[in-house]
Amino acid sequence: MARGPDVFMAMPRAGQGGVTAVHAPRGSDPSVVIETLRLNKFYGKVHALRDLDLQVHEGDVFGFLGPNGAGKTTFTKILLGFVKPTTGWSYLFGQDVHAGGRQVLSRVGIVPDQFGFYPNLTGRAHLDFYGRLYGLAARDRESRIEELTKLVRLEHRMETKVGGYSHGMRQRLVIAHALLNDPDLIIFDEPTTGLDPKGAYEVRQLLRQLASRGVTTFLSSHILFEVEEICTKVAILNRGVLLKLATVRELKKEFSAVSGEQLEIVVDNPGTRILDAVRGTKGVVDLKAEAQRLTATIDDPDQVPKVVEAVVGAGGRIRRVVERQVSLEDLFLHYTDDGLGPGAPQKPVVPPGVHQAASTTRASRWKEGKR
Amino acid sequence: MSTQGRGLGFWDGAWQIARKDTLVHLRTRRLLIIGGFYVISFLGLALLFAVFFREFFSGFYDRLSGEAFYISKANAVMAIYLFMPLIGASSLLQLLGIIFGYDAVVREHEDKSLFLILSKPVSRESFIAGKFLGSILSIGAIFIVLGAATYLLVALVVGEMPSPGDAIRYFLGLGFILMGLFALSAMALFFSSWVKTTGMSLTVSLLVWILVLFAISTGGDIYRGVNEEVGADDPVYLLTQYINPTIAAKSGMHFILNLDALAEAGVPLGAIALASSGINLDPLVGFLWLVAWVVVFLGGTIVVVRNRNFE
Repeated sequence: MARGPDVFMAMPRAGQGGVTAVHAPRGSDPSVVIETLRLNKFYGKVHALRDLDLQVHEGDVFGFLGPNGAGKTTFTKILLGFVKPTTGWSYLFGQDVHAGGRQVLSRVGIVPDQFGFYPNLTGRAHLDFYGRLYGLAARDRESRIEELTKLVRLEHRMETKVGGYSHGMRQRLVIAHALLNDPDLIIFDEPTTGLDPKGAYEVRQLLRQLASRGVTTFLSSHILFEVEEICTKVAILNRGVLLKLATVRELKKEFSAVSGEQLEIVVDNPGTRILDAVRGTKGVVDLKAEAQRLTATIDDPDQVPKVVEAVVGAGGRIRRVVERQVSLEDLFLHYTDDGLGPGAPQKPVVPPGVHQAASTTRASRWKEGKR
Repeated sequence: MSTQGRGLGFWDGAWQIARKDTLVHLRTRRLLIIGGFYVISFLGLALLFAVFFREFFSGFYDRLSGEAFYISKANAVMAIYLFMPLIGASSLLQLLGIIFGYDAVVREHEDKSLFLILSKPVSRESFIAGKFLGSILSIGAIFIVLGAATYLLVALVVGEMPSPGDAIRYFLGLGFILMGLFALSAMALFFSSWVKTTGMSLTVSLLVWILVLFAISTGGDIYRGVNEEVGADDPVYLLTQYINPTIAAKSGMHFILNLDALAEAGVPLGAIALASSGINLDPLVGFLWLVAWVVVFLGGTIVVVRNRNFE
């Protein structure tokens, strides 16, 4: 369903360093699948979620990013009714599961970050049980189980006890369980954690497949490229504060505008004419030349073709063009770096080259920390 | 085609949870192992009574009056054989209630299978009702096998089948003990929803059952013993007896067997049973107390689970 861009317009919230989405009152927009209003959660003195306002719309493939302890799983658990918010409201399809709206869960599939099966029951017995909990009729259950076990490639292990399943097989089984009810919304909480590369790849393929079918997907993850690859919209959460909420493209564009984006052009015949032409192109904020290599810093990725045209127009024979795009990792680190906690001042933007080096180091450290 | 399901009503949801629990108990062989232990133990006890005490009882047989004795004269001995293992070991039986209740909720939480259940359109109340129903089904299955096997064994040993009336009384007696079991199962379920580990739940359930409940009823006996003016119908004394579901459950058994009549007839085992607590309890009050116990603990469990955050 088409929506106006204002729905996801991120606005800074005074004094909190976070952002909030402009939202319509609950129920006024049937396309809103997930909605939270001033959601707060305290664990003792720890403020796990702070005034979180969020909307996810029908058809969105929504990435929920944040480091460990950011509040992602707490958020998911509140949405599904496992945990009560300290204050605020959460709605799924306009229903509050904390206030008697649990029937709406028949439209939702969940792949939690932590889950357990009954080791002595077979895969089929599990899917049959969960199908029954969704209230599926026997015939529908059987056909869905057949269909889904093929989809997750467990058709030959359905009569095996789950106690003998590998981690990857359990993950595939939990995904199959989440799809039993043909959900309108599917929530993945760290779906590839602990999987080997092949297993993780398969899960991502499945996510893409679901997304392409128009199923509203909420992917909570700390794996950045996963979100970047799959999601169209992203929220960045840190220390319980929603720092950013926008489409991936909007985020990249915004980040490029402040930090710049590097475009490397290798030409056979560098010269002053070419340098002047590039410098004179709209959007180019910096240019360096080294032998046959021109490195332009531009503030808008949409200007890349213009820069290339300028080189060609000045008689340059281009051998290679490399665009170093801003990655979600850059954005993520930019927004969640320690200096950017709630209420902290904005981090000064460093030159792109320096930022890249620093980002890589921080990213490596962070990833190591995650493992 | 939409396959999102029709959603589940309260009892539908409860039934699915109970069905799953029973299936898990079957597949883990928990039902078989625990049930087998109980059935073999009670068959052994029944055999012991039937073989070793038959002649002993026969001497008193003629003195038992059909009017005073609720169990028909013709089958009185057999009825005693059937009942005595149940009375003598009713405390052991009550343990079954705790065994099938103490881990019902907390294990699902520990094993993280709870999240996959609670993310379905099943209310927490329905989930708890299902857990209780699951324990009832498992306990009931054991009881049916145990009761029928003991009944048949004694019939074989004695060489005659009880009258239909005695059979009904026998199974009514079982029903009373079963009620006591459900009461303790509801209590264990309550602790299971409250604490964070299965070990803690088992410990608390056993401690409350053994130390608190038995301490109170034993305290009542002592209170009565040291105060001559305190009679068997003293309200404080009665309260200390009713409070223990094990004893409340015995009230029905005693009523059905009419141990007073047995004692008057000079049956030594009846006298032994007389010495046991619960003899003066009104079976109707005992029954109502057990129902109240189930309602209170089940309600308490629902309140705890409704308000609990499952992290």
